[in-house]
Formats: sequence, structure tokens, C-alpha cells
Amino acid sequence: MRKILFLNTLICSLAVCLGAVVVLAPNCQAAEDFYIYADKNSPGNHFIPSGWMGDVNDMKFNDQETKEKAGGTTSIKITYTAKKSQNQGWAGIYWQSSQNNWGSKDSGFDLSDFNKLVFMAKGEKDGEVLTTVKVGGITTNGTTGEPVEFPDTLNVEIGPIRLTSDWKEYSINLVDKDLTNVNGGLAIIFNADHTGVEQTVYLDEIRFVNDPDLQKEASGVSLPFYVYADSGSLDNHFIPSGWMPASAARDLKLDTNWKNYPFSGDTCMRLEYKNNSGTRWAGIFWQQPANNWGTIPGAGYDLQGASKLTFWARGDKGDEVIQEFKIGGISSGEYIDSDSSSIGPISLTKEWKQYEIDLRGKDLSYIIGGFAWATNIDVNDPEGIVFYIDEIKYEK
Amino acid sequence: MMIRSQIKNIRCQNRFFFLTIFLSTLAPKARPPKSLIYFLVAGFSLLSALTVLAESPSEYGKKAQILRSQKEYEAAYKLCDECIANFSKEADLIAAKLKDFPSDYEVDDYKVMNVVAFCYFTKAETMRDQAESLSAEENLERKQELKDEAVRILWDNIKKFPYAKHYDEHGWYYKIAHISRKLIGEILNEPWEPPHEVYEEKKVMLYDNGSEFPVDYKKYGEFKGLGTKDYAYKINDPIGLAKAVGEGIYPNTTSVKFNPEYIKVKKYLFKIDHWKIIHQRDLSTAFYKWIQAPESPGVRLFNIAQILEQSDHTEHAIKAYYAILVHYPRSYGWTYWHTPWYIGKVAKYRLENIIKNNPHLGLAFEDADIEVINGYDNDIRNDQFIVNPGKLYKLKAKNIPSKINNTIARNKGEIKQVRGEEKIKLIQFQSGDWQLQVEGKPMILKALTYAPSRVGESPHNGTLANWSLQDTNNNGLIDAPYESWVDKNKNNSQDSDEKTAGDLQLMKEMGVNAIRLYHQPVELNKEILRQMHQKYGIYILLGDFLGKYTLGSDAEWESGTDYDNELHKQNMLKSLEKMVNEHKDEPYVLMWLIGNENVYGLGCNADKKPESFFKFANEAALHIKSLDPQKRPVAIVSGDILFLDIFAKNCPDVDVFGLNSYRGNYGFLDVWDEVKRVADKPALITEYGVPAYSQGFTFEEAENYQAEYHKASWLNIMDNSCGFGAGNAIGGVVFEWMDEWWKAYNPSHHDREGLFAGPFQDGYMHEEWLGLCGQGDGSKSPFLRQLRKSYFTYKGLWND
Repeated sequence: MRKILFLNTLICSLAVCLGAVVVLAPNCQAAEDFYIYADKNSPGNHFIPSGWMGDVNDMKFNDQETKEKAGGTTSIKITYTAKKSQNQGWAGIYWQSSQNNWGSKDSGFDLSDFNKLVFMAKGEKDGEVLTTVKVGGITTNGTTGEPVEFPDTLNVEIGPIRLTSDWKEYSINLVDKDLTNVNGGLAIIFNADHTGVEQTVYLDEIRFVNDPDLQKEASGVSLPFYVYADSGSLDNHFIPSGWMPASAARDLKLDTNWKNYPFSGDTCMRLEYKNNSGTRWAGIFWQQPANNWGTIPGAGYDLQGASKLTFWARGDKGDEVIQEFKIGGISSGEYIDSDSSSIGPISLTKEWKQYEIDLRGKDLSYIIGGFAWATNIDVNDPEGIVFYIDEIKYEK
Repeated sequence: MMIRSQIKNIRCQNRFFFLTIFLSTLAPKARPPKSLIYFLVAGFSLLSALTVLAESPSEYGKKAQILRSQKEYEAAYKLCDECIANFSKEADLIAAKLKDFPSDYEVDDYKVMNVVAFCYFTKAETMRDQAESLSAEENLERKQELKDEAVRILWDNIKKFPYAKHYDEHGWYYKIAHISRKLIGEILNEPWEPPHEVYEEKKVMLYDNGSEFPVDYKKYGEFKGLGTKDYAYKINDPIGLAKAVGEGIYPNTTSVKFNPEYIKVKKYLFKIDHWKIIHQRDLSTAFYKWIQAPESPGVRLFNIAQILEQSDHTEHAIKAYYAILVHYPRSYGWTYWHTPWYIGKVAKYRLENIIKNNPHLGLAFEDADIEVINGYDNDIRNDQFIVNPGKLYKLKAKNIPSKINNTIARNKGEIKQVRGEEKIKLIQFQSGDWQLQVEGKPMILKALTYAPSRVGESPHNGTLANWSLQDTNNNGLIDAPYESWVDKNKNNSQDSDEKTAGDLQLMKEMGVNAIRLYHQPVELNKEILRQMHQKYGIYILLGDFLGKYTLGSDAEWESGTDYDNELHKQNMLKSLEKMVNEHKDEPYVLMWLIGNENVYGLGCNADKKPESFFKFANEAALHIKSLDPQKRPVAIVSGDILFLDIFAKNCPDVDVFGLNSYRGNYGFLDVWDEVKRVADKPALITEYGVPAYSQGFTFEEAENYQAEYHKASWLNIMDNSCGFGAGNAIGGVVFEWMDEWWKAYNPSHHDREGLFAGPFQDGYMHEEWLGLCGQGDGSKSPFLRQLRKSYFTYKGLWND
């Protein structure tokens, strides 16, 4: 059962009742907005911030902050410590249609009358980062990967957003999206690699609106499109979350903030592979969003127009063999990469060298696996290898 | 034989890219605890067993099995109970979370559950053993109690731990619920098998065949370093090349998306395991799945090529195989024994085979060569590939052969060298070809392994009788050789027109001229062997295990035969002396065999010390020759071509390179060329074969496949015999004459279990179905023979 919403034009009604002003208030349109958060305990609020994810101990949440507010009397204050206390490297909160509803309850809203999510946000200082802000996306069981019974009908996200110390309005374009069942009304996600240090952000006036002038967002991205530029760079896309196989956590170490001898900028990525688990192989997929093996609708980037992916790499000693560098090819769900391309095996040199994956003729309309590498111990030093990657980008 | 079966598989396991890779099949599969036989000879003491414990949960089951085999029932129960008491709570919690088998990669997380389930199984198995050890008269009640309790435990085990596995020393696992169910069947005398299913076959429907056949790769890129270590093909026009090759072939990853068949199934593909689907006869789905399979490109392309070939898209398959040579000639997988399996080489030989068998395509394939320097060991890091993908092109109309060319033997020239001094010699001609000659006449070995094991008998429980002495009806005639009969109508009854023939007569009619036997662990009845030779013209290839399974060396099982150990060596030389002195004056001996796949280890350290092993093998050959007045040839029985280079360097006095080889239905691929190139010795396939059972196929289809496999294998041998091909093949030994029912689990039941992966019809080795003859329902064993199609195939080939 979907809740069909007919919002009361609360302000207008009040005005009429009070008889103070007989004409309609000029912002009557705004009064029809569907609020997630107006103020603490506002009767117009919907959704519950119950879906805590990732390093949940890294977040402090206060939804009745009174010192900072963009409107009304309170705002939401979130402090993210970036301590990776559960070793996830990220943390986030879902505002769910009913408490802890990860798709098992039929409590989602039909928000087809709206085409935009709007919210106000600021940082405590300046430069705080919201890695991802999204609407929808609760479609699969996070543990089993199985589709949930009542999935969100959309999954739209923006980010990363670097906040300023002033309140600013941000929005997510939902034109032509299917909003018939919205369970995850909003998700705010932080990534430790983006934030680096503890940060505090404020959110306010979060609501769905109908903007008749809003056009469908143009598809595609502007090139060059970075997978990795520097640690914490807002130009970065895709998350190195797809560690393979399941035992990879015992075999791999990834430092995205390695400052010793990067190819360009301040940092590069250092990767260490040892066959601790005995599995004999390992690799990492950079995914959009994190941990997406093809189960999340509408998540991929449209990278059409790119003719190659380039990156720089070097080995710690030289002769480290990477069996394959790859883009695309994630195929474990219904919403898989539209194509794939790869190079390898490659024997790395001790000095930085640029490599290129040819993307000509490939269908890059939906890419969730932006970059990947994999290798095995059989072709490498049995004691393991260390190598570095930098400047991964899609180019024309 | 009190040994593990000699059959090895080719489980091409390449832990290379995103998932485990097996070339020919692949995911591990349940198998019954046959390997528990190892414990029977492990010589483990009770004292040490009882001091193991708690430090390592996984030790419990292993030690309990040893105690069970030693009939230390109470001690075995104690260990099992201790394990269950210590870990069952944790195991229950783990089991409660599972809805399916966890992946192999997560095995550590489920170890406790697996250990507990295995201990329950072991406890029940011990109860079964104890019940059997009691005499019926005196202990009827206790016997029944034990059986009832065992069955109760097993049902409980199945219910509580449906997803538990037990891993053997090679990493293969048994599904414990599965073997529990089998054991229940055995205890209740109601043998149980999963149902035999026949899958519907669905072939690939291609949407985009590509614009060219064959593809002229020069149009789309550049070949660099042809015939060198630096070979590479650089694509300049990926769009043009993708268009030319068509759907599913590198670098075309896009066309498939427009295939209407793919569109129908694409939403469901993610639910399918690409290794499981490959042998389920739904080639269409397998094709789409494999195009996006998370494997290395070479492995992916190889499996795509196979699927296309099986779907009769011969031209597209040719493109796929050739694309491997062009783009991924250095690809590899792994066999079960963790030996490399070079995909590029396999692709080359398959390509040659397909082109030869399809002359109507008018193709020529020339100059292809992939040499793997240092490719005979287990280390791929030292491999260097010298690659030339060769030229694949259309012949001009006038040059297209109308049918398969049967080439004429080349001129061999004069004799270059002779090995052997008396009646049996190996001749090498100036052309390089080798020939076996017996009393001056050329001979191709048309041989088989002969082990007519009676149904119900098993070396696992010490009941397997010596066939060469077995006379169950006490009529003075040895059963199998002289009293078998052919159940022509397969009614498991000897009808009036089904006269007693005897295996020897049947083999003679088939064209067999030799059988392979070992003088260990039981003594052979020489009189039978004499008659075999005198009356039926069958020679013996007589072998000594040379320390494999510790046979001959008297080594401890756990440490195995050490080829640097002087005592072990002396013992093995004595064993050889015994063999030679016992049989040297017998005319039936054609050749002496030494070893049996020792290079894979298992009761010996030849896998770890191959140089020591081969040096000793040479010493063994010299010793045999010093004892044999006829100086008959000595052949090693190796495991495929593993360590071929070390053999070549260290075994100048071994006359023949023999190898057990299970490489699929294309014959033996590069074996002949490699032996010629590296060792320049005559080559003998000392074992090859294929089961006559395949899950998902009808019995008739499986039997036909067995016959086709054997035919292809034999023709490959002939294609490389003296004057042809590599010119060094001197014959082959079929594995085996008849099905042996003890191999899997219950020796009274014809198990259909796929014991491990291999390059066979359904991807698995069904080890109880390797015979050219079946034993029907087993009720007339050891007399009844149901001759399979492969018997008649050989009858045609070997009497030609």
C-alpha cells in the first residue's frame, strides 16, 4: 500500500483561519512541499533517521540544534569523526519511511507529485564534505545481497559536496524518476578519505518539492573524469569497496593517502598484496556506489565520450605482475556494467609509467565498476608485492 | 590394489582473476571419503592421537578417522564426543545463519561447523565399523543398536548441518550431508544415489557472426616480435576488429547485448554460477554467462570457444580459439595437482584438430608455435613464452581438400640408434621417428590396464581379492580371465546364447596385445600370465611402483618415500630385483615399467625432489637392465609431462617416456611434440580413459561420448606414431578393462558420484565407470560383462 499524499497547505490554511490576511501567502507553493525535516518535532516531518550504516560509531547526531539553523527553530547537526571505528572507512544515515525499514515493510511513500529534493546545508568551518547525498537506493539486503520485498523505485545521488560555512541550498534533480515507492527518503554518507579529519555539518529544511521549470538532468559527465586524482579530492569518483574475494581483507592493504613519491599532486594510492589467506589471488573494484555489484538501479555513470582510461602505476621493487587492469565487467546483479575493457598482464616498473585501457567502441552508458585490478600470488613474489597507482581518469 | 586409484584429473584451477578458474570444469564437488584410505596406512599411534586435541579443532576428525581405521573404536568415540562437546554450540550458531553452502573462500569462517559435522559423521562411521566387527550370532542386539544409533546420528547431522563440508588434503571437499545420506543407505542396505537427471540441450543462437572469417588481424593492428619472447599484438582499430570477430570474441564485448536470446535471460544471469552452467547443456545461457564471466580474458575466451564448438558454431569457435593465440597466448590454468595448464597451447592444438576435421572450411593454419621455456615445473614465475600465433587463412579453391587428409608416412631413412639388445628393441630412424620392434617386426602397443575387481570387494576394507588367483566357483579356472561371459541383451542373466568366453578371449578379439600390471602389492599368478601370452598373444607391461604410495621403499606414510634416503633406495632396488628375478625369464614381459605418477607426490617426495627421483629412476633402469638378460626396454610411468625437462636430463638409461594423461577428447595435444623436443625418447601413454557415465546426459550419450573420446585418443596416438606427426608414439594403455565398483564409496553399489573435476563430458570423473565393459547390476560379478560401445570402437581400430 502506498501512501498517497495530499499535503495540507498549512500556512495558507492557518492564515485563512486566523483571518489576519485574506490573500494567499506568496509562498503558498512552498507550503505544499513534502518535508523530511523542517524543525524538531515538526508535524510535517516524514521519514526517520534510523538507517545507520558503516562506521556508525563515528557519527554523532543531533536533530535539535538551535545555534545554527537555516529556518525555523532547529537544524540537524552531524559530527563525523572519520576514525573508521568499524574499519569501514565510511558512515552514513538513511532517513527511512518507517523505523529501520530496509525494504521489508510496505511503508514507502508515493512522491510522484515531486521532482526535486531540496535541502540547506553548511559546515561548521569551511570545506566539510558530504560524500554522497541520495534519494532511494534501498533495494537489496545488505547482508545477503538478495532483493528486498519492497524496494525503492529510484536511486539518485549527488556528491561529493564540499560545504561552506554559510548556509546554502542544494538539490537533487528527480525529473523522470520513479518516485512511486520511496522508502529511503534521504541518505547522507561520509567517507573518511574525503573528509580526512573530524567534521561537523548542519542540515535543514529538507524537503521534496515540485519545480515545474526543472528539466531532466543531462546525462553524461565532463571529461576528464577522475577515478583518483588525489586523496580527498572531490574530483574522485567510484569507491574502492569491491575487495575480492571475500578473504581479501586479510590479503590486501590499501592506503589512498600515500604521500611518499606520488606521480602527481600530494598523494597516490599504495597497495600491498600478501597471500595471507591462502586464496592465492585478490583484487579491488572501484564501485559506484560503494559495494555495488550490480544490484542497485540507476547507479552507474554515463561515461560515453571517453575513449580511454589512463592511469599511472609503479611497483615497489619492479617486476610486480598485475594480471589485469579493467573497467566495467561487474555482472553480479540486474543493473550491471554496460561494457568492459581490460589490459594485462602487466609487469610494473620501479618508476612511474602510464598505462591506457582502450575504450573505443565500448558502451560506456552505465559504468558502476570504474576501475579494477587483480592479480595472484603465482605470478608474483611469494612474499607479496607492493605497488602504487595514481591519476586514474577517463579521457576523450 | 591397496592404493588410491591411479586416475588423475585435470582440474584446471587458475586462481587468477576474480574467481577461481578451472579450465574444464570446475567448481569443487562433493566426493565420498575415498581418501580416508590414506589413514589406513598412516601408522598413527593412539597415544599421539590422544595428546593432540583442543589446540586445533580440525585435528579431531582426522585423528578420529585414524583411530577408526585402527579399530580403536572407543578412542575414536572419545575424540568425536570431545569435539562435539567443545564446539557444537558454536557450530550450531554458524549453521543457523546459512541458507546455502558458503564459498570456498569463506571456509575459515565455517571451520568449526565443518569439524563438528565431520566428527558426527566419523562417529557414525565408527559405529558402522564396530557393528560389522561383531559376530551376528553373539551380538545381534548390540549390532543393531549400533546401526540404529549411527543412522540416527547421520539423519541428525543432515538436518543440523546441511551445508557442512569436509576438505581433503588436496582441497577437495565432500558435502557431509551427502556422504551421510550415502552411509545411511549403506547401513540400511538400501544404496542411495541422487537421481540421474538428463538435461535439455540448448545451443547458442548467434546474433553477430562478425564480418570476417577468418579474421585478417593485420588490418586491425600490428604483430610485434613474432616467434620471440616479446610477442604482442597491438590493436590499432578496436572498433573494426570488434566488428570483424563478432559476438563474444575479444575485443567484442558489445554485440551480445543486442542478441534477442541474451535480452531474454540477462536479468537472470547474475543468479547463475558460470562454472556450474558450463556442463549443464544449456549452452546458450552458458555462452551469455561466460561473455561476462569474472575470469581472466584467456580463460573466458577458452570457455567461450568450447561452448561455441559444442553448439556447432565451428567457424566462430575457430575465431575464438585463434583470438586466444593472438591476444592471450600466455594464459594458463591449474590442474588438480597444481601443475600449470597452458591455455594458448591447448587452443593451438584444438584449432589444428578442428581445421583438420573440417576440410570443407578450406582453411590453412601454419607456423603457430608456443614454446614455454621452464614450463615443466609448477612455478609459472619462471616461464617465458616464445609465441607465434601462426597464420590462419582461406585456401584458394583449388587447394581445398575434398576430405580429411590421411597423410602418407614420411621416409624414415636409415636406423640411427637402437635401444635394447635382444628380441624387443626401440629403433630410431634418421628422420627422428621411433618404433617399437618385437623380433624385428614393428609393434604399436594396443594395451589396457586389467583389474577385474569383483563387486563387493574393496581394498578399503581389505576384501579385494587377487584376481589372478580368484576362483569363486572352485572349478579350477580363474574367474575373470577364463569364465566371464557377455551379457548381450543386458538382462543380467546368462542366456543360452551367452557362452562363457573369458576376458582373455574378449581382449584378443578386441585386438589387445598387452596389458599393464604391477607386481605389487599382491603377487601375480605367473601361470595366468604365461597362458595370456602363449594362447592369446598378450604381452605384459610389468611395473614396480618405485616408492609411490611408499610401495617398495618401506617408508612411513606420512613422510613418504624419500629418493635421497639410502635405506629407501636400497629397499626399492630390492623390490625391483624381486620383480625382475621373478619374471625375467618369462616371455610375456615386453617392457618394464617404473613408477606411477610419482611426480605428483602422494606417499613419496618426487614432487618436491624431482631431480632426486629421476636420478634414482635412472639408477633403477640400469639395475633392471643389469638383471634382465634380454635387456628389455624400461619405461617410466610419469604424470603427464610434469618435470619432463628433469627427466630428460637425468634419465638417459630409461628408454621410454611413459605418462598417464587425461587431457580430454582431443587426444594428447602437445605431449608428442614436447617429448620429442625435450627428451627425444619414444612416448607411451600409460593411462588414458574417460567414464561412460555423465550427469545430465542419457546413458547412451555418455557411452557414445566414451567411445568418441577413445577413438580421438587413439587416432591421436597413431597420428604421432612412427612416420607421422612427432613420430614418437609407440602406443597407449587404455584405463581400463572393466568398471571397478570400489573406487567411490560402497563396493557393492555402482556409485555415480562425480569424484573430481576433469575434462570429460559433464566435467567430472565418475571413477567407477571407466571400463570398456560394465558389470551390469553386479549380481553376476566377477563373470558378467556388458561390452560398451568403446569396446567395439577399439575392436574396429585395433584390428584394422
